[in-house]
Amino acid sequence: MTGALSGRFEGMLSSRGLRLVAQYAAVVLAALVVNFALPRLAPGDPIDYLVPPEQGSVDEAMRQSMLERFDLDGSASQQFTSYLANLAQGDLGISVRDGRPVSEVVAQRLWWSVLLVGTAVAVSTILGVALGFTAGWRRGSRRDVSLLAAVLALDALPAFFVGLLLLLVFSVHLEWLPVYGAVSPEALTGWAWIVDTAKRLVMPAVTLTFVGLGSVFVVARSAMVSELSEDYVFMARAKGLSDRRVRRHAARNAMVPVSTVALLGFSTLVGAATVVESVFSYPGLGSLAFDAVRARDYPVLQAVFLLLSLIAIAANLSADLLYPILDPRVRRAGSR
Amino acid sequence: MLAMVIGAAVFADLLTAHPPDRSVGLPYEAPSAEHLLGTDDLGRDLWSQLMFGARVSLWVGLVAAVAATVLGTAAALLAGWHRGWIDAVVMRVVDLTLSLPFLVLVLVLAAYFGRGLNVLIVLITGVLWARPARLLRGQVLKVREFGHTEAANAMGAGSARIMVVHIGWRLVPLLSSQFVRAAAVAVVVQSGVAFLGLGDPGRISWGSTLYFANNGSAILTDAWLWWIVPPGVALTILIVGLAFVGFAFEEMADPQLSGHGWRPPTRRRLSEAEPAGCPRGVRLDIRNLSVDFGGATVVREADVQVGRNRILGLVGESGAGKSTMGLSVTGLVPHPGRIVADAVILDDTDLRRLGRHGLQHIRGRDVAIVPQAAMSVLNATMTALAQVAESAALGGGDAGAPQRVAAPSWRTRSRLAPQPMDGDAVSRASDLLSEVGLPPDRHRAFPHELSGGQRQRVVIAMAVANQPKLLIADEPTSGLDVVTQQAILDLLEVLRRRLDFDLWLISHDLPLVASRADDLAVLYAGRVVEAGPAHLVVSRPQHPYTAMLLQAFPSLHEDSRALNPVPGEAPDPAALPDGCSFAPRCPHRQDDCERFVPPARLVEGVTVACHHAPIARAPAEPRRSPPRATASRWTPPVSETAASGTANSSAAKPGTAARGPARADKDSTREALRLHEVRVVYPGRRRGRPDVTALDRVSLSVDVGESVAIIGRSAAGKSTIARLALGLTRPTAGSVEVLGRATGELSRPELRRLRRRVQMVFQDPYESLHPGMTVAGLVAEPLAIEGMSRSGRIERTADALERLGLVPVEGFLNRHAATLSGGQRQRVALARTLVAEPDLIVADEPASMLDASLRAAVVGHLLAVREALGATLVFITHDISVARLVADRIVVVSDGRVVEDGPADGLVVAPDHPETRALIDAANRSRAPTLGLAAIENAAINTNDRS
Repeated sequence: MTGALSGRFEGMLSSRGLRLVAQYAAVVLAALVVNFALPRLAPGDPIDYLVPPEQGSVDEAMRQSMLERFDLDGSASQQFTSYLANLAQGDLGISVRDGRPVSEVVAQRLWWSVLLVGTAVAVSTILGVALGFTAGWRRGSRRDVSLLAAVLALDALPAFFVGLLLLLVFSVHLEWLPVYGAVSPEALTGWAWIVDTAKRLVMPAVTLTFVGLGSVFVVARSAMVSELSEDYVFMARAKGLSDRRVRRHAARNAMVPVSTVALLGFSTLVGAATVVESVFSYPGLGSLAFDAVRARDYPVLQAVFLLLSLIAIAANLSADLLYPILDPRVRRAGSR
Repeated sequence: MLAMVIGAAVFADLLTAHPPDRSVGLPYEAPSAEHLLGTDDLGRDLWSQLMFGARVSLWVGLVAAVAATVLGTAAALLAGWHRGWIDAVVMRVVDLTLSLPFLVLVLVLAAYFGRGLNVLIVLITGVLWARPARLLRGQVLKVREFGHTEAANAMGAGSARIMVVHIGWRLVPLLSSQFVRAAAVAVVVQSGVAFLGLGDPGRISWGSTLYFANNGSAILTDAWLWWIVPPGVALTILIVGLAFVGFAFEEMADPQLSGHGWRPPTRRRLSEAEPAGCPRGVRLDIRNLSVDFGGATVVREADVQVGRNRILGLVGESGAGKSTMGLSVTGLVPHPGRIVADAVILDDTDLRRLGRHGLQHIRGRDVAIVPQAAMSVLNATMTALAQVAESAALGGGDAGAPQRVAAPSWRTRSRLAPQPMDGDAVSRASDLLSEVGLPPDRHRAFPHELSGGQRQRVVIAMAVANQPKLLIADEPTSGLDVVTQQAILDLLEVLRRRLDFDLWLISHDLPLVASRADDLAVLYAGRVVEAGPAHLVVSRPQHPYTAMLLQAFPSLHEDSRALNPVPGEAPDPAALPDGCSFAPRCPHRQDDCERFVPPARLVEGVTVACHHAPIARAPAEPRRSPPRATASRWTPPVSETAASGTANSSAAKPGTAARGPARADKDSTREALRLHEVRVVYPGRRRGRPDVTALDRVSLSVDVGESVAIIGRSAAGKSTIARLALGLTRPTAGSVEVLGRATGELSRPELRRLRRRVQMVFQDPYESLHPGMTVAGLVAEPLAIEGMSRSGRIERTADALERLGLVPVEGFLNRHAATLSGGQRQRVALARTLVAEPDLIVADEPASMLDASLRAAVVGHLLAVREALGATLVFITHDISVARLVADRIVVVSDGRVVEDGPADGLVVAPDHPETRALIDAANRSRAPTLGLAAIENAAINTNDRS
């Protein structure tokens, strides 16, 4: 047994593993290059991006010192090298808006995003899979059709509209939940803090869950339907298994496409979080990006974009790593 | 709903009295006749904002979706067609684009590149194309592998034609669903951007209305009712509409989703008379069973008995209702099926009286099934051991004791059933796998790591895990080569003796089943037309159908080259003829046959349903046909003139009358196919997987005009030779010459031109024909590739169809392949070969997917076509008895090497190589009954010895 196991891992590492590492290294590099190149390719003077013209004029000496300060005076390759070096030290530049280091600004917001998006991904995946499998089990039944219609309609609601409606109902009219922000302006501690934070999380998380629910549901449902038409499901019935165990057979296999979609949907939710966070004034990365765009705070924008890209790439990587665990056909391909 | 939105967008000017973006009233006005939805904080009219907003949303959705779909399709075709590094690069770009959070990406890009609506559309397109590209590429790769794409490639079609006709067509459903989806996403993104206040400042859209509403604190006043709700609802309507349209397309695009899954069968109707228990000596007694699928009655009033300690063989053509009958015992008939019977009694239990749970507890425990296509019934994500253990755990209790439980006790067992995967079940599963002959080191293998025969063994282990009383094996040998077939049947017999179950074998292969069964039942169009002891049925068939079916199988031991297919095709179960269903195909038909359904009666120890049973024995007289009989006895009129008018037939093309080695020395100075020291190595599917050597230093030559069969077990390398002959595969080493030209040195256009002189007949008649093309288009495709005019094509097509007996021709020309039966499809494929007038025909198991009677007919048609064209034939098969019938010379391939090569007749009589002997032995054993009673008894003794 241990032999078989280590064989499995060897196989994974030798073929898929190596290839994955190489591919993701390339993707990360590409993301860095894009991030480096974007502000430099954009039309206009780089200084305009650092100090937007509407915020004041820049004299020649100051201009020169700024070019040096932001490594904008060397050749492209020199600039790229120093960009990477700074990055490696965690130096992302200085925020134009409030003069603090970008890394500090970002770090402060990151955890709220993780909390919000993480909650939404978890809830929408679990709920989407459960509902999708239920609907797919008896395709065309009344339960299937009503679930399908409900989820598709829910999925189509624009996130900001849902957000506004929730605010309207639960905050303004019912006054059950706080309107804005992630933490109370009063200094709460202990249990009270947790309850308050959770309360403030509810509406943004629900809104974001709606965004992610549809795609997971649709994939889970159709995966279930197509697995049920497979011969092995027939065999499971023929050998006398109960409905419950038959369903487990199908669900096991249907998880393969579902996991991929759930993890890829992660990046969609990160994007949608921008809108949701701005509706609820939730202090995550999305609203940071939004504020940065409005204030033309390019160093922050660049950092946020890089960070989100890396998060999305990490989600992709975990989908790729999960795949062979769920599907033995891929897992052992290299080990024989 | 969508129409409303589109209407609003188109007629926005007519529907509104005010411009949307200028102050026309006081701020925060409530709705009035003047301002239907009031005004916003700047006094702008909200109603006209709503109407004009539709324009922006639709425009963005439409343009971005068109651009993204076009871009995505182009990328998909590029990647999927060229594969290799282009594919790798395109897909990495796609992955990168997909993995970025695209709303943020659009925001960031908009920050750098400006906020105009058109800029936004470009940006949205830039992030949207990746998803359709990825999905479409998958589809392109899939369609590329489809039989009809391969076939077009083999016909020498150019890549433009293949892309448009064969691949593009298959992309349409997916393309449309992706287009709609892209439109919906574009609308969402645009409104999201506008809602954040980052949209085009010059345009009023639904998103921007909501942005102003949010900033204008509309939710804190009553204004939300006319300020927030209308644009939000409008957006929702548009997106919901698009989502449903897209979903509908998707459901259509995925053929897997269109089938209905299994559902518990409709409750059986109990008849008045209640028979009590089986007759003595009978394990399973089925009386008057009918199975109805909403109008089509697949099984009709059938009586079948499985005796204790006996093997029942049930045979019939595909569609005759064999599988349905076997499945109906435990209620596993698929959804619309309705089972009606007077009795389905297993020992003392009437299975009709059991409900859903009762049947579930009979399955696997008392009645086990080895389903059809058993090679694909294993769960790919579970090890063999786990799947068998799951079965073993159902029985519970201690390993040794038989789990014979009387039917009612399932109620108590269901609650107390132990959860599977206990150690006991696993160890028992391991014992079972060893018993069925799976080597211990393969027990924890996943199904894809096992060969077809091994998978079949695992399925058998699952079936016998709970010592069933009855095992129903549905086509347990289909898809296996002749040698493995015998091994599996041997195993079933050994297990039967050891575990003491009764066996019900279901197959279309009458001789194969007859060589093993004690009793035979012959099913035709859902009715049992003949039933009785196997030796009686085989030696003195009473029903004309049985007699003709027996004649349809080739035998190695008769000096005969004739095939005798049963003429015609089985009737559609939804439209059976009156009277005897077999009457239209019966040579002994008389008036009463077409009026009355013949009742079953006992004739000479056999139950037979024929009005004229004793007369019908005429065909049972010994088969006598002259050696080397030509195909003319049973083929449609393919006249020899077919070859005469050919423009491209080379000088080397021989006449049509003679064939074989006799003329080889005369004018076959040229070789039609020559392989010299050819090695073909397929790289491992994924990196790290060992390479597969398909052919190893193979030398082989086929003279012009010769007919050569290449035989061997599955995976011996036979099909690789066929692909080499068409230049579809290139040799890793060595050289291949086709019609005198070395394929390695030809350019792509030259290779295409060469392929037009070589035609391939594919194994699978369902895949090799494009389902969306008409018969006329299919047959004329080689002519279209050559660029022949339309009128000429139609004439030649009609001619070819007529020669192949697809008459009346007018009735076939405009039909789609999907509406044809398997035999008709293969004849269309042959008509296509005929019009192409090739010099070399390569047939890759052209009949192995068909029933015996059709198989004989297709092989006959193939020979007739070949003879009409005077072409060289390379025939690939695993069945030596077919090979002998078709070919002058037989080449035996084993593990990628040629092990024997010689004249057909000589090789069959005096084989040199053990592999040839194994193939001959297997063929003989499966054809035993045609030798008569003595041979069956011998075979029975042989099997006794082994067990």
